[in-house]
Amino acid sequence: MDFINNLALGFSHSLALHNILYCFIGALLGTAIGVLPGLGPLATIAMLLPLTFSLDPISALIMLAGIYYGAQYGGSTTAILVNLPGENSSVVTAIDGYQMARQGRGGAALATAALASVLAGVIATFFIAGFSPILAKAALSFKSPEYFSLMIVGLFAAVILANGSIIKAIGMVVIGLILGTVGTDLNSGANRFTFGTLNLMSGLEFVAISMGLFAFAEIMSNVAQKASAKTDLHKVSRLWPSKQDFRYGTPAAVRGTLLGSVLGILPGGGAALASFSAYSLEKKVARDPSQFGKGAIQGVAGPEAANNAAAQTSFIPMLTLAIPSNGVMALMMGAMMVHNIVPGPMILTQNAPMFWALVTSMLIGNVILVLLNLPLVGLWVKLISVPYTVLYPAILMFCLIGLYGIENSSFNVYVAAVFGLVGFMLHRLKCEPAPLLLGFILGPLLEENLRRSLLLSKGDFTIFVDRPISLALLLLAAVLLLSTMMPSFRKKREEAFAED
Amino acid sequence: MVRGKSGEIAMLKKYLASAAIGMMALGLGASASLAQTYPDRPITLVVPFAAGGGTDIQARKVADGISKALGQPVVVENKPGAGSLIGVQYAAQQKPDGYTLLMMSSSYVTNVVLGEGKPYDPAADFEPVTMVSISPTALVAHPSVKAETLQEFIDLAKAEPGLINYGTFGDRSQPHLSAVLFGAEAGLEMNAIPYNGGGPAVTAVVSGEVDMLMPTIMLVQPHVESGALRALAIASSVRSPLAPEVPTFAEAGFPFEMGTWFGIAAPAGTDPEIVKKVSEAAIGFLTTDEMRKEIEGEGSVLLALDPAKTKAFIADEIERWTKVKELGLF
Repeated sequence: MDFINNLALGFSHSLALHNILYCFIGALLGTAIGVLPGLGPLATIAMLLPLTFSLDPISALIMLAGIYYGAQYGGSTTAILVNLPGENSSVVTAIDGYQMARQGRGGAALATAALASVLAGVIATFFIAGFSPILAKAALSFKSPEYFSLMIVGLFAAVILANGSIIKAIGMVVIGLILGTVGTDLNSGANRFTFGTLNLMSGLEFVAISMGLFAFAEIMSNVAQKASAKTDLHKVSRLWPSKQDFRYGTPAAVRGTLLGSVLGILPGGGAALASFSAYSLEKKVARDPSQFGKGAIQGVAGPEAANNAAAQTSFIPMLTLAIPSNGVMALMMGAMMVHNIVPGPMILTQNAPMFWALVTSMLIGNVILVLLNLPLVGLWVKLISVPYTVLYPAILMFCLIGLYGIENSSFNVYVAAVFGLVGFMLHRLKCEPAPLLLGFILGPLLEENLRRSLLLSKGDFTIFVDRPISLALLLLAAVLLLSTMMPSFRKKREEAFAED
Repeated sequence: MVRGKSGEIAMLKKYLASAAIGMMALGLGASASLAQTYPDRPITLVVPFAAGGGTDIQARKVADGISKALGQPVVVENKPGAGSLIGVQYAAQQKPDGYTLLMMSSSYVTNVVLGEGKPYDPAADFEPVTMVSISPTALVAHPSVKAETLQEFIDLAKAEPGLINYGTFGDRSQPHLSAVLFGAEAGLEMNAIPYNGGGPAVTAVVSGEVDMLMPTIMLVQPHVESGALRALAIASSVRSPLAPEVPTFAEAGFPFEMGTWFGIAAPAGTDPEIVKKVSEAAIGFLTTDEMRKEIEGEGSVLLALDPAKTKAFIADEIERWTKVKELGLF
């Protein structure tokens, strides 16, 4: 009964006309910045924060939250249409989504992404409402050893989800890990691989590497094989997913939602980890894994549902424990403190109207997003029928603006240019860049948690097997490793990834 | 003739003198009018950290206030990287015409004094304008730590050297510096456990992975209020309005002051008149009741210092950390 009362209290605020308006503004802005590569929700919220100081706190938070989950929607649009994941959570969406677009199913892919996201958004909202207090406590049992073991699982999964040869995938992960070590070491303050330049002291920028490897490399490859690129980009037949798409996509979206909801709660987990995990899960459970990487609808529905669900459930640790799991959540927390609302376990008693209004506004926001995005699918699809001689320079220009904007410096533009060349070579060598990127993201976390665990245990490695959750994760990793060595799996995998 | 000549010379002298006076007056007039017409175009406030961080939030508030007082937009330009070195160096290289200002925070001094190399000189490369505020450090412990007071904590850490693990936001971050300095002054042996930033470090002390953390009070206040953390002392001369029940270090029997501060500077060579104008605008804005309340609401102490006092503040900081460096703690 409490549950219903709470939701009713929330809706009484979030359904007020002005709050619906702020929700709409947030969702619209979020979609727009998601579509623009490079400009992320973090920078946008930071820029808009001062504007919200004069607003009613409920309206301010509803709008800021809208920007965040709206960006998850928009980010997949460029990933699908031009293989350009603006944020790390849409990297895997690009794998199959872009293939669908090349086959003329771009409309179906976009609609699937939108529908999967709204499904995830609705379910995740109930998830937050129902389990907030309980789930927040679960996140605290994840300490450094558990995170280390979780990263090991993530890296092994990255190798398995890669297309093509396992050796190449391992190579890509290792290169990613090495790139992740660039910068100032957290423990000692020593500079690693910075070649004496200040620019590398805070490490390589994720956006620069991913734009180089995906966007720049893709453009170069397409220009290199002009004739085929032209035909690939023009055919867009249907906008609505087929019956078959629904049959395969719906269960994938449900699985992605559940996985994403759980992973979103973990501090540091978030949307990226959720989408990667959802992709490997889909590949595991699929009846015909050979379709993955060639435009499998599950490869879009699963990760898209997962990243949206995770984006929403990542509010749980921030609201109930005052633990922001990422930069955007930290900003949201800052915005609340400006209005003298203190996040933490007391929020459910002290600021109940605000809490429930925010939660219920997510439901409204998701509906707004789907109403906003489904009609726009046609518009986005038209974008790829623009001749690539016009489209590519335009994409490059937006990329360059985004790259410059990250740190207001041209250094990242050069980094992206170098990784564009690297990406082009990898494409030619038939090496997948996705495992490299995952290695780059997970590598620093892996090292940090490994060294921290050992500092805490005073050098005793048994810390990783003495703790049940950590042990279970390591066993899972061992199973993954063994399964890749088994001859039957290898055969199946080779069939699945056989070059056409 | 002679008379005439000398008369001519006299006249020439007179002419030259008046011309010189005139030119001086003109020069003075030009400089005075430069400061008088300042600002006639937008001012840039360089923030050497990413948008959305603590320094950025302070900077955007200050930018808004200066802009209203001076009647020109103040644009915040984020130049993050290398733990603020990139942004500070960038600001140092800009024209000292008052149209580029720098938002300083504690790392402005510690980065250079405790770091390797000398990317800039914190005493000479900038003109201090105004100190904004200082956010005092608190010592918080997980409730499982068997110490209700600061003295009990010191006794506990002394009884078993190496028992206490404390979190940091990375090597030479403010909580790291605070804990090392406090530990050295109290004669404690504790282990630093680095986390990548404030969020993860606070999580770690709340979950009990580390025993202690020395962040600014604002960061942990909700946890102190809910009882998830125990605040043993606050490192300022007065108690914090955010947590009035927490004693100062001095009250708890161990005088120790430390905090994260924010301030404004201009590249060296900026016209003192302009520095004064910006400083007065900032102080006028900071000392309004509304701002004072907001800053205190964040658990910070309002400083609002004029250029001379700001200069002395920075010099004190440099001296303090140079001494720490000489102790060989870092």
